[in-house]
Amino acid sequence: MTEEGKVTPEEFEARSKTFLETFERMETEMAKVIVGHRHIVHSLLMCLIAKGNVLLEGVPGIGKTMLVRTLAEVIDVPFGRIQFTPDLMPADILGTQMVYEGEDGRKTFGFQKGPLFASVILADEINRATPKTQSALLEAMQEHSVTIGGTRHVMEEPFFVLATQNPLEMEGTYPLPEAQLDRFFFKLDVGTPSLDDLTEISARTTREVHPTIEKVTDGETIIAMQRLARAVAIAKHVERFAAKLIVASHPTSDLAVPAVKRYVKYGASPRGLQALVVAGKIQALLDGRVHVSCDDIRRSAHAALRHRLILNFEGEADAISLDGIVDEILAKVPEFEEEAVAAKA
Amino acid sequence: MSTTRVSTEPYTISPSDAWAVRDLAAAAARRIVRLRVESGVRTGLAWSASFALPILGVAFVAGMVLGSFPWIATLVAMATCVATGLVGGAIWGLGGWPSRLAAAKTLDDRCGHADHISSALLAVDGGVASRAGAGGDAVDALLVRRAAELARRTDLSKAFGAAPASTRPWQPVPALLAALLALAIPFVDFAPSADASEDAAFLAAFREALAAVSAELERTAEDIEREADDDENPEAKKIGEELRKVAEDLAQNDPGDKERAMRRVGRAIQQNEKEKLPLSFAQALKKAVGHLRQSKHTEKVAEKLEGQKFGEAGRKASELGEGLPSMKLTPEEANKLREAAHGAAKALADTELHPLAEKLQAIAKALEKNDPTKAGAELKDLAAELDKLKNLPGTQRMLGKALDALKKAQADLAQAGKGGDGKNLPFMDLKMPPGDSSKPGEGAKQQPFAILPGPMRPGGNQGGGQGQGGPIYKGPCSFDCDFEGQCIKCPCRGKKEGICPKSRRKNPSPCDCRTCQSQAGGGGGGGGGQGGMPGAGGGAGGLKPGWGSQDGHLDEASKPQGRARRTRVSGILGEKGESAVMAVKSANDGSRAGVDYQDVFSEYQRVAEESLYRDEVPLSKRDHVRRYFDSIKPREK
Repeated sequence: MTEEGKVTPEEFEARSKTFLETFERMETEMAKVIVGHRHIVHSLLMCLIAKGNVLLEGVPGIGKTMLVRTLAEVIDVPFGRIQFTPDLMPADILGTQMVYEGEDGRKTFGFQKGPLFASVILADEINRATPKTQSALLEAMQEHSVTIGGTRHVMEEPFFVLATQNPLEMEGTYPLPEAQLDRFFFKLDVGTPSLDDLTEISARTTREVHPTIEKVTDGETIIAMQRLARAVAIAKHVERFAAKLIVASHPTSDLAVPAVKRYVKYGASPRGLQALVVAGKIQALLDGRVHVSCDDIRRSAHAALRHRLILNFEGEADAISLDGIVDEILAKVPEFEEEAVAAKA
Repeated sequence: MSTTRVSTEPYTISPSDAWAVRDLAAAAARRIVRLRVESGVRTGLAWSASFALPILGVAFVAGMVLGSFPWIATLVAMATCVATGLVGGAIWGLGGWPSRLAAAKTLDDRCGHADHISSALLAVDGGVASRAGAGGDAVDALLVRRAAELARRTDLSKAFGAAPASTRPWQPVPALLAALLALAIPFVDFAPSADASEDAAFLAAFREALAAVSAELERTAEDIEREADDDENPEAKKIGEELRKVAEDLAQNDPGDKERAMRRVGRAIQQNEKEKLPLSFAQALKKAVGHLRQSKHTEKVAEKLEGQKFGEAGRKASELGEGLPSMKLTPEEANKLREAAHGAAKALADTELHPLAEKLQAIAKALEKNDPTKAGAELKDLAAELDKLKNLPGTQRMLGKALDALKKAQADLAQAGKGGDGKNLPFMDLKMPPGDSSKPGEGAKQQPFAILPGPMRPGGNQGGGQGQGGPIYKGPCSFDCDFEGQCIKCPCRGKKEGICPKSRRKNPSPCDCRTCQSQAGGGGGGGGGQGGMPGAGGGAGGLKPGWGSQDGHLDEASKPQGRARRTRVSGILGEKGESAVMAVKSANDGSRAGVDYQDVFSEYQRVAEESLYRDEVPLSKRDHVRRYFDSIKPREK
């Protein structure tokens, strides 16, 4: 690197390769513990590189918590776990002012950091906490800082929140408000493992020998990867395509597809566009490219948009799949305005 | 497009890489346009081919109507269609010239380059993502370098192969059908078939008449030719030949050909008439004869001219010319002779006989100069001119004979056609001169004749002469009644006995039902029809007894004279005794029967009310009926 922010093409290429190798090593290490769910692991790591937060949704017992713990073990960063319950208070996660007695006997208030002050945070079963507690995560997730007692406390980078929620047992839970959902970079649906995966899970977890996980990277490398990803080139027409996807998700827009007009109440926010573009950049690097293609945008569209679309009553009543709506958006929105003309040839 | 950025930084985009990317995008754009033009032309041709079938269909119909296939119009229409398709397709192809970016994007999509070329093109033309950060411009440079390598390896011919196949596989079908139809053209007889006529029996009778007429015309033509040979009159022979052509055309028994044939001979004779028989000929000659009679020397010449014996008149003139120098004319005789010649010359000056007028004028001048020798010589010249006209009377007589034959043929054919409606029968109306054309000079006083091409109804033609009013059909009545004629449409068929099914009256004598009454004046309507004029109303009046006007126009006698009479009578119906019924009798004046709405309404309402109270109708429903009748109740005047 010649100087900060100025690299030669050759250096950039070398960093890209390093990026790819690191990413693949993280995936490989996690695969030692996490059976199957390669796409989930991939998306999880992408969120980490994108400086985003992830909401993992799935039934109990499919390895959501294990996934996050494994990630924390792969990266040599502090790990914090918060089990969300209805009686959990914001101070329980953020920290609180404690009275400390000095050697001289004087008593002073001091800030006792909560479990949120770590690099990788597991917010387990986040929908069981009250909205008040859930909201305590908002500032931390977006600003990577919390303000307590008039003092702003900045989180140590990298800061990565992984929340899990259980779609079952909805009684006594507090569904995440839309504003908080929007703050999650991706929402990943962790599905039930396949037959082969289950066999493998059985083989790995019911014996005495447990796989050993190596720490393949550290926080600094993750930060460097985060910066490199944002330097990837994206052409105007690709950026415009991503923006068109967002516009098409709004039922009142001209680009709205029929499914959106019928079933969607609110479309994706600009954060959705940011998620699409940044995820596309990471995807480009992972493909060995230094520019984003429309395909990169498409590949991240489901994870980035599915939790940002809010169904209307008809959509909820008909149990419309949000992934299906995203599919229709992707199918109907053209990548390039003039491409239709050229494609007729 | 902006040029490649020049930077002092070591990782500036290489110009060669930039041009490689640009060239590839430009080449892709050109390739896309070429493919679009090819596709457009192909689509245009397919489109025009699909029009071939309707064009050929229209051409077939036109051929059937016209009697021959319209090759030129069909070829012009097809050529226009093909040209339109070609030019339109090419214009469409050229109209969608894509930008280099669009071409690059298309290339990326076709080759699976993941937007490499298009992103690099943007980098070349101004940068893509030269954001501050870890990469900076190095990203653009790296992107373009990779894209250039990709561009050098890209084979456009593989990326853009042939234009895609048509998505409409049915498109060639109309063209194939059109080709099959075109192959059938030589085997189709476009001449109108006699069987196509609505009335085959009528055409059969008409063909027989044609044959008879043809034979008669041919005999007349032979007579004319024979006499023309005897008289050594080529003009008369030409008339005979033309008449023979008419006969031959008619003998072909083809109405379509007949029309053309008659038109041809009509033109020929008309031309002959114009050239040889000027309109003012007879009158001018008569005046000239009057002047020549003033001199005793030219009296004999005048006599011969009056009889249109031009050859003999010429001989008399020649004799006078030989003797004139030796005659000792008194001044008075000379003056009379001069005035006779001068007057005759003046009478003939503005006619086609002006050569005679010039000679006569020369004679008058010679006599005025008291030069009988020269006058004699001029008289001889006059004799020569008169000799040239010796065949004129024969020609006109032969023409009259030919026209009479044609007129008779027309009448015979019209008579033959009266059995059918003759809708599709092409016919020629030869309007003959009112004067007796057999007399030389009489026919020439009027317009010789007019050729009116176009279809004419034979019945209508006949109606002009026969429709005189009243029942026309005089055939035996199958019902043995005293009625003058039998109306084939009258429901009682003119039967005196029994009950007329129309009027319901017993023993009508004579039948006074409306139909029969209307027939009585209908014939007059027919008689007033414009017989012979194509499309004129009342054409069949003369042939269909008592029908009168076909289009509903009645003459004054048959027009209704008053309104229908209503009669209200009481009768006994049913078991309960007396009840009122209304009998409406049609008026015998030919008008229609009618009943006032008020009367009808009250009757219907009364019956409805009775039914309401008699039948078990729910009370709630009775109001509906009452309201209905209230709504349609007649207004108070």
